[in-house]
This record gives sequence, C-alpha cells and structure tokens, in this order.
Amino acid sequence: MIASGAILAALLGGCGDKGTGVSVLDTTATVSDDIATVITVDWTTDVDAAGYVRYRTDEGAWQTPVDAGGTTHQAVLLGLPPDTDVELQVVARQDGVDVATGELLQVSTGALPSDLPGMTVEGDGATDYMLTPLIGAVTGPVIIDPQGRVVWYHEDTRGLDIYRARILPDGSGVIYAAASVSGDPAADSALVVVPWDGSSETTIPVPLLAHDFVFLPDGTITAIAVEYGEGPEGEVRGDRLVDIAPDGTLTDIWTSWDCFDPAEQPGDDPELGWTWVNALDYDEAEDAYYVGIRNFSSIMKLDRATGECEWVVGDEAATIDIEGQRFIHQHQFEIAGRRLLVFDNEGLGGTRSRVMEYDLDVDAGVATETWSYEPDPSIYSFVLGDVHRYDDGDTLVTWSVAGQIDRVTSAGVPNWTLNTELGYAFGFNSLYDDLYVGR
Amino acid sequence: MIPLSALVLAPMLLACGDKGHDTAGDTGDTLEANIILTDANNFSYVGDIDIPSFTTASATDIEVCWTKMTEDLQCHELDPVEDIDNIGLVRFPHLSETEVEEALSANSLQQADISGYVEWNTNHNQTCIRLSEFSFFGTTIDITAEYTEEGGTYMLMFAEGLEPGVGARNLVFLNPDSSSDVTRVDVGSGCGLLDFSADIHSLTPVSAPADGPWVVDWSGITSDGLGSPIALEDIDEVMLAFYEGKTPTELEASFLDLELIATELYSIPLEGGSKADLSEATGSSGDFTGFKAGGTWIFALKCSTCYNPAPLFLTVMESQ
Repeated sequence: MIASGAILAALLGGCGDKGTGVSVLDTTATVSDDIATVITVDWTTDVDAAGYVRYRTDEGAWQTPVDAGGTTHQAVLLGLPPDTDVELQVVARQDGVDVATGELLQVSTGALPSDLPGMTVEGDGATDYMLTPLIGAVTGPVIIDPQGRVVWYHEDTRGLDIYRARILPDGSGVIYAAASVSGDPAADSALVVVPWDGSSETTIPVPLLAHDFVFLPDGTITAIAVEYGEGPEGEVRGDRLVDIAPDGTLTDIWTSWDCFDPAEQPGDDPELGWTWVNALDYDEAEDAYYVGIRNFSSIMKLDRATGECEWVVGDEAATIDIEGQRFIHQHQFEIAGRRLLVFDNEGLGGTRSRVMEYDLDVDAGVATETWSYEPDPSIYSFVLGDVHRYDDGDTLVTWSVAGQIDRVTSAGVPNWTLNTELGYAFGFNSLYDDLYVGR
Repeated sequence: MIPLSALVLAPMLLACGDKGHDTAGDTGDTLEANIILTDANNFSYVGDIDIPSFTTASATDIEVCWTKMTEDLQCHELDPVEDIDNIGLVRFPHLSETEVEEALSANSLQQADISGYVEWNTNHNQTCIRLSEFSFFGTTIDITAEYTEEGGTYMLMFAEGLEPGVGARNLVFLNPDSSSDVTRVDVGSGCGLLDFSADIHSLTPVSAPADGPWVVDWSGITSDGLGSPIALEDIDEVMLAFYEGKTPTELEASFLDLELIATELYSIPLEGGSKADLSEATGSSGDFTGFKAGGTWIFALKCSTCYNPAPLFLTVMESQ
C-alpha cells in the first residue's frame, strides 16, 4: 500500500469538478458483511474517467490503484484495522491528471469475529503485511499488518488443512489451498479463491493437494500433490507437481519417480511417506522450481522447461554437500543467488527448531554454513515454518506451530515478535509490502 | 511429542460450551444503545487453581486411570465413564507447573508456550488408558523420547467433547522423574482445585428500563473481572439470568453454579461487536420479555474460548 499522507491531507477537503467537466457522483462506501475490515466504494462519473479512492485513518493515508476508466467504478479499501474510523474520497483522473473529487465520506470498520485469536506484539520492526493461514479452532487465511492486527480474514469450514495462501496476481483477492496433509490426502482438496470482500468462494478442484503452491508469470499455478506409485515392496506415497492453468486445466509436470528411486533413496520416514515434498518456490529468472523434500532432508532445483533435476542440496540424494550443520526435516526455505536460508525443523534434535543459512556454491558442489539462529528459550515447530531475509539483513522467522513470528537481526536479536493465543498456529507466510498487488 | 498436535490445541482449557454458532446476535450494532456499561458496573474476583501433580517414571509408558473422578473442577457431579469424551496431554517446554497454573488463571497462555499435544478419545467403557495409546492425527507418542523429565511440564486434560483443549472437566500434571518407578496414576475428583471468590455486591448496578428497548453497549469497558485489560473481541455470548428471591451476596456463594441455579436463563450468541439487543435473548423458557421483580438479574459477557471460566464482565441489572 502506498502511504500518501501529505497528498491526501491536502486534497481531502476538496470536492467536485475542477473545471474539467468531470463530476464524481453517487459515491457509496459499504463495509463488507463478511469481512468487517474491508470497505467497498462505488461511484459513477458523468463522463469516462479513471478513478481511485484516497483514504486515511489516524495512523496514515493510502490510496487504491487507479482503475481502468469508464463511468461506473468500484474500489476496495484494504489494510484497515478493525473498529477504525476512515475518511475517504473518490478522485477522478483523466490523462494522468486528477480532475475532480467526490464528497468526503466517513465510515468505520467493524469488529473482528470473536473466534479469531488475540495476538500480542513486541517491538516495531515489522514492515510487511503477512498473509498466512490460521490453523486451529478457526482455520483460514488472515492478513496481519505490521502492528500485529488482523486486517483481513476468511474462515474455511470444509475441514481440510490450509498451509499456504497468496494474493491473486490480478489483485482481486486471495487464493489458498485447502488440502489434507495430516494422514491421507483428500480427494476433494481444492484451490479456493476469495474476493477481497469475502462475498464468495470459488473452488478449483485439485485432488490430493499437499502443502504449497506458487504462481508462474502467466498465471499458471504449480502445486504440490500426492502421487502413489511403485516402491521396492509395494506402493509408496510420493509426490507430484501439478500445473493448474488459468482455465482450470490440470497437468502433471513432475513426480518423485522422475528424479529418484524409492529403492535407492528410500527416505527416512517411511511410515509418513516416501519423499514427502512439503515446500515449493519458483525462480522466474531461472524458470526453475526449488522443491523441499522433507524425508530426504534435501532441497532440489528442478528446471521447469526441461524437467531436469539440476541439483539436490542436503542429505539424501544430495549432489551438493553441506559443510557445517545439516538441516533435518526442513520446511520452507529461500534461495536468493548463492544464499540458501532454511527453516530447519529438527536439525538441532529434541524439541528445538532453528534457521540455517548457507553459501550455496553449485559449481563446487558445496553449501557452507554461514549463519544460524536458534531462539532462547528454544521454540519447536515440528511441521511447517518459514523464513525470509530482508535487504537490511533482518530475518523473518515464522515458527508456525508455536504461533510465533519473529523478525531478528543478523546478530540474532529479535526486534519484532508476534504471538497468538493458545490454540492457533500459522501456515507458511506470504509477505507483501503493498496489498494492492499488480498496482 | 506430537506431530500435528499443538496445531489445534484449542484455547478453552477450562470453559465449557460450544464454540460454533449458527446465528449471530450482534444485530444490536444497528440500534442505538440505551444501556451503557462501564467498568464501575463490572464484578471482581480472585481465582487460583491448584492442579495436583503426579510424579511418575520417566520415558516409561504410564497407565492413567480416572475411575475415582466423580466431580469436576466446579464440583459438579461427573460420571467418569460417560462424561469424559477426550483426554489430552499437553507439554509446556519452558513453564513450571506453577507458571502454568498462573497463566491459566490469568488467561495468558500463548501457543508458543506449548510444544506438543496428543489425545485419546474415550470409548465410554474403560477408565484407564496408557500414554502409548495417545495420538494425534494417527501419530502416536514416542514415550521414550517425548515423555521425559527434560521435556518440560506435562498436563492431562479430561474433557467433555472432542475438540482438543475444549471443555476440560479436570486437570492434572504428570511429572516424569528418572528416580521414580511409578507407572500408574489414579486421578481423583477435581473439586477443590479451583479457589474462586467473586464480589458481585460491591459493583454499581445497571439500570434498565422495565419495558424495552434494552440495547446494551459494552464498548466502553476496559477491564475484566480480574482488573486486567479486557479483550472485547473475545466476547462471544451474552448471558442474562434471573434468580428469584436471591440477593447478589447470596449468589456469590454459588458463583460457579450461576447457570445451574438460575430461575430463568437467557443467552445471545455473538460473532463480534459490542452491542446486543436483549429482546433477542432466548432461553429454555422462551424469549426474554422484560425484567421482573422479586430477585436479582445478572447480565454477563462470556468468552467460551478463554481458559478461565469466569465471565469477562458480569453485573447486576435493576429495572427502573
């Protein structure tokens, strides 16, 4: 979201035609019946014009993206805390110039549902909105602002697991995977699309979905799903990557058997499954996936165009060795250039999780430990967990099962910590500095 | 312990009730309130819980029996066979037993305080079970690795209902100790573990019109009955009750039984907001139609997902 306080403050008092012949008419602002922190603004203009909405609270001012133009308009105000007074004003624009303003409206967001968990925050180091599934008595995606407040939410009641949610590339809402990872996979798993105002759910059936999915530049989604196949002693539970095209067409693009052999690389947790792929990232520049394989304690690079398994770093099936401490049963990770950052669920042993960082030298075939972080007292997230490195060197750590998110400095000092009340965990964490994706 | 377990340890360790609501009762938000609640109207209480601790062998399968558990935490009668649906085992890696008790009393436990949860759904036939039978989503407990004296503080919850962490009728600590050879625990009554004292006679009663409307607004409340900052968003039910022939002081003695001894009991489920229209309150005897004389009316704001069973707000309503 773009803070534009000075501009807004200067213009909020204005109203009406500025002598350009454009009038903003019939402005209404409606708090969503389904999400009390979302306000939908509708207006018309008497002639074709583009438009946007400026809005402010006691904490700052923002604006929606400029729309495509026309005479009928709608914008959704995002990022607002609950129980907050909001001033808003429509601005009409022609040829890149603001030409008219609508009336100044005042509206208040509503209260959060009582079954959302309370959250506490220490520190002020957070900068991003965090879109993460809540898992617990209430399950569904929420967006948490840097102050630790829920500013968007949607409860999913289908009884499946939700571990990843993302903002749609067109900025129209949120998509999440409703799957089953605990126990048997679900035949009725699906990707679920929810518009910002929460007024509907659109499901895209994808059987046997697992933990994670990514968007490709053309809007295709690649998701992890379970695949059963032949093992040395009968059927084993492996994984596949499936493309979901924008038209909903499903295409399997990879399976565990394409790169590995269950007889040669059996994994270390056969009761759970064979490979147990649990995390997926996409590198647009490389047109490659990075695939986290829990039961190998390894991460693989997969070329999307060729299907080639380029390298594996970690333990089982590794082509790149670790120098330093290994990660075990990792979940989400981040690869940026030569830096490999990993949420290491069990490398410390016992009930302690940590973050590991490596210098990844693919040519030399070695990943050298460069940094690690273990909180004191220790925190254990036996599943899930996520990491992100900021440009300033801070690291955001999502201790999923512990319901805690930390931003820590390179010296390992937390400068922001968020905790949920007992009974709620987080899924993977998708970060956004602006909720208006694609602005 | 416990893959996929702590994920869903719901927050209601002590309170009873159904978390889900089919209807929302916050339609009062559209009405103008004529009954404004303030902190001066709220009751106060002090409460402690003293959970018994059983020292057992460490890294050893323990048999837990609850055959003698015939009363719950609120001293209500309990059938150990029929009334217990689920037994959960929670591990707190960094909290002592005393700290867990204090956090339960203060409603301050966080998800990060626990590192594992497994459970056993009772079969309503037996009243003894081994820890090795506990599991979550099909994952059983590795006793030798997960039930050890280094693991932290372990608490068993005997609950009515199957939602993890919800509806606890009794609590005990298990204390694995390598010097102990105890392999069986007999859990007794929960009565007496709660030391609860409420003051509802010192508050400023709320005046309400004899005839409607009765739109109540609690947005100005800042503290709960403990004097702690109140989380208004946690309120999910309005309770309105009439006690014929009872004074507030008399009700204090039966505070834990307020819902059981009410002459008339009404409620409004809430999904949020800070207003409610009492004309929407319903109960087993029908809809609320007005305040009658000859007793005490209690209005309470409840949180079914808080571990502390006390209402967040409770006051006496008097007809004008």
